[in-house]
Amino acid sequence: MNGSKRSIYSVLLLFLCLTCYGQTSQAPATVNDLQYFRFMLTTIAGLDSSPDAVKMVEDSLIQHFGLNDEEFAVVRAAGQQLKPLLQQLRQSSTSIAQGKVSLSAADSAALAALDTQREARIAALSNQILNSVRPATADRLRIPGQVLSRALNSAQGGK
Amino acid sequence: MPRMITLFVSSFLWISGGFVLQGYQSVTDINSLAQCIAAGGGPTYGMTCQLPANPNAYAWPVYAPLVIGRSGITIQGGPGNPVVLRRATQNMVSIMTVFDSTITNVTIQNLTFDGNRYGFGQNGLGISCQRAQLLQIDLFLTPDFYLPGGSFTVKWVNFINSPDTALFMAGDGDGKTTAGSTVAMSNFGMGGWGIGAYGGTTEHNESPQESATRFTAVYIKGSYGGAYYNNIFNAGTAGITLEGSHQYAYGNLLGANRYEISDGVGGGQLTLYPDSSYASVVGNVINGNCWPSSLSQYLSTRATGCPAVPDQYGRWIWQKPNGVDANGIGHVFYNNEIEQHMSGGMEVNLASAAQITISSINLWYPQDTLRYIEANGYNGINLEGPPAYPALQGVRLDSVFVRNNAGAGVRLVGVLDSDFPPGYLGFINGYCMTGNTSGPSTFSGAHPTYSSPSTTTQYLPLNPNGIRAQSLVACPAYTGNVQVPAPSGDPTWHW
Repeated sequence: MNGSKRSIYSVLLLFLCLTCYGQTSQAPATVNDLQYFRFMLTTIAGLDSSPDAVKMVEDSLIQHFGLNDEEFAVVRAAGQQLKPLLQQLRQSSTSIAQGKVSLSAADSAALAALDTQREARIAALSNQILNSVRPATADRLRIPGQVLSRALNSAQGGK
Repeated sequence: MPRMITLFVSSFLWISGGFVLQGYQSVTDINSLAQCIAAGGGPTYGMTCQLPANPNAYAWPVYAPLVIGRSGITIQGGPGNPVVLRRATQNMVSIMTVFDSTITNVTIQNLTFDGNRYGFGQNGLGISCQRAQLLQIDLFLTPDFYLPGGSFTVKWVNFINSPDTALFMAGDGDGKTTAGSTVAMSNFGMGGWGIGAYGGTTEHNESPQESATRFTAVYIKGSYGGAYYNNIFNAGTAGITLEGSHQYAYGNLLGANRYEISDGVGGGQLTLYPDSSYASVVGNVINGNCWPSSLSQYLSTRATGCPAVPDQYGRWIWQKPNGVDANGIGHVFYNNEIEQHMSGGMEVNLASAAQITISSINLWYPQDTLRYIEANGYNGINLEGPPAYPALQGVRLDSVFVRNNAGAGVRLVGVLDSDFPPGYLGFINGYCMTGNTSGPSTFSGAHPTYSSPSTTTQYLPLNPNGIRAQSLVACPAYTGNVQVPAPSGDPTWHW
């Protein structure tokens, strides 16, 4: 399956799941929530990891969050949707920086803009996931960010 | 002075979700990163030391340890491509470390630490297959193993190719407002672009096993710190070792750690040392991946190019890892999935332990997914005191879900009661145990007050508000894939 077909397939899957559950919309992902979504999606997109390891991570999401088959497909599709953007950003980053001893302010600003684009995409995909899964699953997917935030702020380890 | 304040305030510019400090110099390379994190770096570089990707290579070579010399800073990679710090000197102890124990409240994020274990020789040459641990630690956040350290947060960091230990941290929290050292949402041994176990110094895409940490991936001392939601694969010994008090291992994925078994001991993917106390191990998924599934597999040369290691007596005995190797006092284990280990799911008290709580309900989050201790090659939970091991006083088995293990669901040997509140008196609140080849539970020299639950298929759940049900309910029907053990070749194992 080439990249464009995969993207169409991913969008269709997301649409199907949205219509399946027909649920009320979830509150947007918070900064805390996004800590984990960012980690999960960039790991699944897998530019820096082996496909074998990514598959183990994907499979573990079922045990971590109780995803059903449809939800699993939604999360996986979101990761796959992020991948082309990450690849594109990587190419752009390389072409901006290539052959330079150090980056100019304009180069840094251009790279920062690419990062902003990535973070915006991650936020959009996170919200897409939250609105495509059962409310109980959405709650569970928000837990890691909350647990970490509490751990770092109150030293209560996420209790 | 007012002019300075004005200059300082006006120097903030919001870019890309973070502050870039105008008026401060930018970090442009490894040398300026070293200056930025050093004690005197503040006036020149500000509080954020952000290293961009190397414009001329995939990784930044690090020839001398990067020493963090001031507190309260953030060290991060970006923007743009991944920012990789790669060991460039064979005998360098650490890629990054701290100046002394006073350095604290530092965040390290968005970086890759490449320990480059194969960069100085492969197949046992250089530092590719070390035999002793704690000689080289890629990110070493205390000045010494035995000294206290400050508090650090390591987040969104990738670790590959560690020749020894990937991350060592300590740091003491106070349990109220200050956290200890924490590693969160980071990847270990998941493969990546680097100098691998073959092909000389040419970079290639490494497999997860090839990119493995030679010994322990995450080693944490101190108090009120921990590991949260990390993916940790293929460490040669434990994925996580806790040696401190009130520490946390929460929501991590541990997969096939003890891959190289580089200490010659089966051991556990998650290890709590005897001097650890009051740890909380909650909601982790710990999958042994049925490694090594035979003696010949154990004796095989690994993807790292390293040969198998004999035990401490020089014997070549099939070493079988377990999921959790727990020692110490006052630990709680809530709702962990522990599966597919060649030995048991949990081994408690091989050195020393007391007042241990194990539950398949997450008492902090009752809506959590149900998880099982399942499909392991020995007992699901093995609690072992005298005669073979030291005294084990006090276990509390609260609604444990244990199934399909090649042994007892829970085996208790020489376990004594403890009245210490809330009471460690054996089984409480029912349990769900099916398919264990030696039955739900076995006892030898152990007579806990609550040794015989009324049923093995009913338990007392918590409602979403954390209130315990008043009457037993049937164990949940599990509709997903039930894990079964892999074929082992072990005649004592039925599968």
